[in-house]
Amino acid sequence: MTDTLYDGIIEYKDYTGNRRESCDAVVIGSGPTGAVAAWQLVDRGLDVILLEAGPVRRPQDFTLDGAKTLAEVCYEGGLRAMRGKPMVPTMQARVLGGGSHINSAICVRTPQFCFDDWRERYGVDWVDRATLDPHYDRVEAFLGVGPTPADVLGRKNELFRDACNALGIHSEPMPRNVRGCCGCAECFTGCPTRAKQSMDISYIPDAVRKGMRVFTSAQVVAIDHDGRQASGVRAIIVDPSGRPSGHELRVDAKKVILAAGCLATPVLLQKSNVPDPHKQIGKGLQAHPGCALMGIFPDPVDPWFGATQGYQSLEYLRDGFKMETLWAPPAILAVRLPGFGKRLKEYYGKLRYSAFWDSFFALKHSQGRVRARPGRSFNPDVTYRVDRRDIPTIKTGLIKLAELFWAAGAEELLPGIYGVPEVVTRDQGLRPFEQADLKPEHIVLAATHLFSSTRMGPDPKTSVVDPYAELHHLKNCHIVDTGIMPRSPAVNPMLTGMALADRLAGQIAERM
Amino acid sequence: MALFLLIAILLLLFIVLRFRYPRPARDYRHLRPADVCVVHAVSDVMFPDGGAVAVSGRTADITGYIDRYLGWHAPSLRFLVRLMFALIEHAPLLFVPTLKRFSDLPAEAQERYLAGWEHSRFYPRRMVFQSLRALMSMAYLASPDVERAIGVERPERCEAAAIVKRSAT
Ligand SMILES: Cc1cc2nc3c(=O)[nH]c(=O)nc-3n(C[C@H](O)[C@H](O)[C@H](O)COP(=O)(O)OP(=O)(O)OC[C@H]3O[C@@H](n4cnc5c(N)ncnc54)[C@H](O)[C@@H]3O)c2cc1C
Ligand code: SF4
Repeated sequence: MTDTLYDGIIEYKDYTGNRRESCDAVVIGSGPTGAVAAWQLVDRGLDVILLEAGPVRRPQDFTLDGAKTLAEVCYEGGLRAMRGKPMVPTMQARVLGGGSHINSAICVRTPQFCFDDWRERYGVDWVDRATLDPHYDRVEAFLGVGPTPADVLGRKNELFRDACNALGIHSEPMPRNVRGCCGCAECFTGCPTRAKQSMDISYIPDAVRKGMRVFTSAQVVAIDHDGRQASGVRAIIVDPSGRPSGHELRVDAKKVILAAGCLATPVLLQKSNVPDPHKQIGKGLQAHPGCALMGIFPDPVDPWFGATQGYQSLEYLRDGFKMETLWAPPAILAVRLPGFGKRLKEYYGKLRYSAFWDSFFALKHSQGRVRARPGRSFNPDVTYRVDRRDIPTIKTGLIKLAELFWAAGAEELLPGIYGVPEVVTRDQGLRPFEQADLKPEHIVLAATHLFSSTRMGPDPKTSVVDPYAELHHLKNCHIVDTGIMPRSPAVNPMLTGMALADRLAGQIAERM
Repeated sequence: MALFLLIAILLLLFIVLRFRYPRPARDYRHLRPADVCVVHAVSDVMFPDGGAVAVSGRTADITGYIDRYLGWHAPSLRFLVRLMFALIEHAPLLFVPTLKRFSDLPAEAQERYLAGWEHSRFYPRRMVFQSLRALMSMAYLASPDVERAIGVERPERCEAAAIVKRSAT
């Protein structure tokens, strides 16, 4: 099979020595925000180079082994965790397309009340639904975002829908950036049908057709600047596993646009000694820690059938959490099952009868920090503290999830929470959750949504970038990744990240 | 002086006896004989023969998978994983307490010992257990035999639409 999708993209095998290039704008990172920004700049007629540390990943590279995918595709072998109590695992993809290559394609618009919050707390009065809606429209149209069709829902999603209906709370089929999804639930290990419109098969090839140059396996290690303005970047060439080849790539550019992700961008800025007089870079990291419950039903659910995350409820967004269905390779999901020996095997035997649903939380008081590690490592040192004042929000989120499971007809729940029984039965209802004296370290959390490590804002003392996403203290250097969101977007962040990038890239192009 | 020498010799003997492990039946790239012993032992307790999913940890070749798994990761992570094995292996001294290593304990004592880690009130101890179980589970669930026994399947229409057929991968 000849695959022409990636024609023109420079890959590891194509580097034969050091290179030096120049362009109008160099974009660092090919995830959702970088890809959209790069496309927008090219569409405006600029000469653009996109640099990505990871390789191109084709369907023949995919494996259904979740642990192997984590090891091959994610930074730090997929074992990255934010230090704190509890430790919160998080992950970032190192591949063309960034997070969009492994994520569940969920595309939800941020509600206006969040933008109000951004304005009131951080003075960000230049984005709201009215200003972003045209950008949401454009991105959604490009990526074919639409509700998950009924014929690919599968039972795990249908049960969620029925439970919400029974309880009279909001629910809807998940809006996703897919075209022709067959419902195989393999979004995490790589979409085998190319239905998922990840950046590597959508924005990036289109931008290449319009003249953009893409260098994969190019890990940027320094931003060139004179203390007042940026003039380009330096990258080392790394093999698909991240080992340096010895070759270098230097790019001179009028504009440096950072989209390396909420954890990598602050590290790159710190390592490049970018001026930061108020020590704002990496400060105030926010996340959506999430917790999943496993519900066991009397009849088979076969959770491996049906769109990976095909249904959601936005009912409790204002209360600080969102509920949705969940699936990932058993090797990743099942690691949170309790016990060992025959008992654990019994739970594995019930996987066919189970559904996993999660609540993720926009916590008001919890936050963290990103710091560069000393030496040559570009892996971030991330701390994140779940504040005790946020425990009631988490508890309510778990209780509401349990309520959904009982409404759907589940017989047992496996909460995986210290201090709550290993198995909660229907007869016990919500009591074990309500009575639990939860502490942060009792809950098994994971966070794949991160933001606010390089906040935008009008005040250089409390933010990193201005309304045009330009660093307050370094001209011609912009950030467009999710790090610029001043606070939680309440929903899954990718779509808002892309809409912001679309808007900002347009403004950057106009001002050049 | 003689007493000091005697204590030193006894200590040395204890260490040699305690840390000597038999050569594994087959070669591993990353796991050392001591690691293999611990992984076999944990695998027998976590995934014994029989039960709802009949495949045992040994049949699923958990040890072989973990050996390959370590190869996918950086040396620093390999070191941490080995440290975790060593901790589980030698901590009966603290938590049982006994001079025996985990892999030498009788089956019931091994179960009680691991349950102690799982339900510990001390968060870091629970974390070590969770990491161990996660690693063992990933290895177990990666086995095609286990997948089949659990019933994991890809819908036919997806198999038809896949760019690369699973049978060809
Ligand atoms: C498993 C998972 C599932 C998720 N599901 C969803 C979902 O369904 N919907 C949703 O809204 N959100 C989801 N998210 C979150 C979403 O994917 C991220 O918010 C989004 O990808 C962030 O986009 P980004 O462009 O800011 O950063 P990233 O997607 O992280 O992209 C950054 C890119 O920059 C590259 N890079 C980093 N450093 C360098 C460097 N020094 N030089 C060159 N390149 C570099 C990285 O390799 C990466 O490709 C999920 C995340 C994960 C991990
Ligand atoms: S569910 Fe399957 S076909 Fe649908 S987008 Fe995800 S990986 Fe692709």
